[in-house]
Amino acid sequence: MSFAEFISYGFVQRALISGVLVSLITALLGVFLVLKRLSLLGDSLSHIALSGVAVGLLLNVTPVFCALPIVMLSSLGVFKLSKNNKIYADSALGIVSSAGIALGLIVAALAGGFNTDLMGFLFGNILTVSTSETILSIVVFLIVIACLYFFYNALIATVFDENFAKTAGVDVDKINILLVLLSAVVVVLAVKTVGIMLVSALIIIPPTSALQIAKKFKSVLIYSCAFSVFATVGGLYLSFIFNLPPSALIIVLELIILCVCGLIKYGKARKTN
Amino acid sequence: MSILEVKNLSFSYTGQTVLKNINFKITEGNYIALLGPNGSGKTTLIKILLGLLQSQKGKIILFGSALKKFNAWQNIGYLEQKANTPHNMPLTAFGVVRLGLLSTKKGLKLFNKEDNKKTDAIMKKLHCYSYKDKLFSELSGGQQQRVLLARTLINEPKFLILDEPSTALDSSSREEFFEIISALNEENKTTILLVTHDISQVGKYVNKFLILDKQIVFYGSKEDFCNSAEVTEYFGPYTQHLIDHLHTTGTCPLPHNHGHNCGHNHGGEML
Ligand SMILES: Nc1ncnc2c1ncn2[C@@H]1O[C@H](COP(=O)(O)OP(=O)(O)O)[C@@H](O)[C@H]1O
Ligand SMILES: [Mg+2]
Repeated sequence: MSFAEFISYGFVQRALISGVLVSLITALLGVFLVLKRLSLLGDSLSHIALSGVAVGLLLNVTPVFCALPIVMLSSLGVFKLSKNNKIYADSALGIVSSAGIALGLIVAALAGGFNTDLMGFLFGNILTVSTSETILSIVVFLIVIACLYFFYNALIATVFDENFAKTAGVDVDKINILLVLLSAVVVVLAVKTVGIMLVSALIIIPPTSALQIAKKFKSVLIYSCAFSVFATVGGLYLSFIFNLPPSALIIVLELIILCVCGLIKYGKARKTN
Repeated sequence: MSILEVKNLSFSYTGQTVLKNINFKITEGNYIALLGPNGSGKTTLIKILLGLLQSQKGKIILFGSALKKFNAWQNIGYLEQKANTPHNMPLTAFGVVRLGLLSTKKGLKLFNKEDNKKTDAIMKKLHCYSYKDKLFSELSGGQQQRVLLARTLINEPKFLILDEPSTALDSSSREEFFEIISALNEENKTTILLVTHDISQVGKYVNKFLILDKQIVFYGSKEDFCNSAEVTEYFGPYTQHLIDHLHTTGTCPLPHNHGHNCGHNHGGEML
């Protein structure tokens, strides 16, 4: 199948639009989360999303829209738990993560066990993205871009050094809440495209690759987006050619990019020594 | 003008009381050395003053307004003892220094050409311009400290709070650093609260001592410090070292009990 033929299908177009938008959002937010050592936030929240999706299946409500408020509330919970170092952030994430899985399993069992719907959410089902989900991803993308524009330097200061940011008049709590809430929304969206098991890869791998080779904050953001979009579009296309799951191929492509970036960094380091 | 007022402040980390009934006042132009042994609560006190930690008891008034309502952060320059910055942050030394201007921005916090010029100027003044385009995370500890100092001083804050700023600096940089901030105090009437163990070096510049050990042991002028019974009692046999030391730097009027003559090279470092 040629690329032109591939792109002419309606469901492929929706998959591409929301896939590209979700990969852009995760690539952008991921840079801040990785630098703040909150890269496992995506993992934890996606496990909470399992509970949300299961509740949706049980109540017969669109799972994504059921998961959204639950995941957003939990993200605020993570923020509260880790604030002022009451609990280490990674422990807070671990606790929330396991709570999500445990509750999810119980609700899923009540909803009739592991049917194909649930499997779709576990491993992603990008080709079944609906119009309303596509619209949601457009809205979230615009919000993320606006936040980046309005809070760019405040975000950088907060990520770099919270105590300094506070004494520079930045409302650090507000910035952090914004970051976790946006992460919550994008995690729910990404559950549809790559699945619960692989969401955190989308948040961690492209920013980490970009951080290997870029020296400026803006270039890190740009590289991260470029890698993420390339992997999503490429993975989707390859899934048609090889008849393999798109989510897995997306992540494999991201991993290949990470290796290449790692090699470039290694090569540069050797040259300068 | 009153810069800072602390009333009946007490603080404890889960169970362990670290600060007890702290009361003091800082007025414009004061240059205060905050002294005390490790673990005496200096860093904790400073973090409370800036709202980075919440005290269980007490009242703090910064530039005339209660801490909760305070928002004139452009007046404050704070340098943390041990900043916790990500090791892979893609931010150059220049980028770090420029962030110091954030507190002067209202609304959209974007930087312009003027800001870049200011950043260059302060980096030249603090001799960190030569590595302005290097990644902050790839600088040495002392270089990072210079960059953070530049960030703290860039908008000429009225009140400087520096928590052991000289620890990572070599001795000549240290001397130079103390000269720079002392000049700010003399020329601009910048108020300074400086946590330090380098009493031998700052003794000649400061005009007040605040000695803290969970509570205030002494707060007052340098002259009173040299003659204070509390100080003598608190430091015991070491007092004379300290006072001798201040003599050699020519900053202490002769106390009555002068005559005990010890070596003065180690005197100032014992705090
Ligand atoms: N985050 C913390 N949790 C619990 N105890 C702390 C914490 N930070 C400091 N302390 C304790 O509070 C006391 C004062 O510490 P600190 O203010 O850092 O002292 P200083 O700056 O004078 O060396 C010490 O006994 C220290 O162990
Ligand atoms: Mg300290």
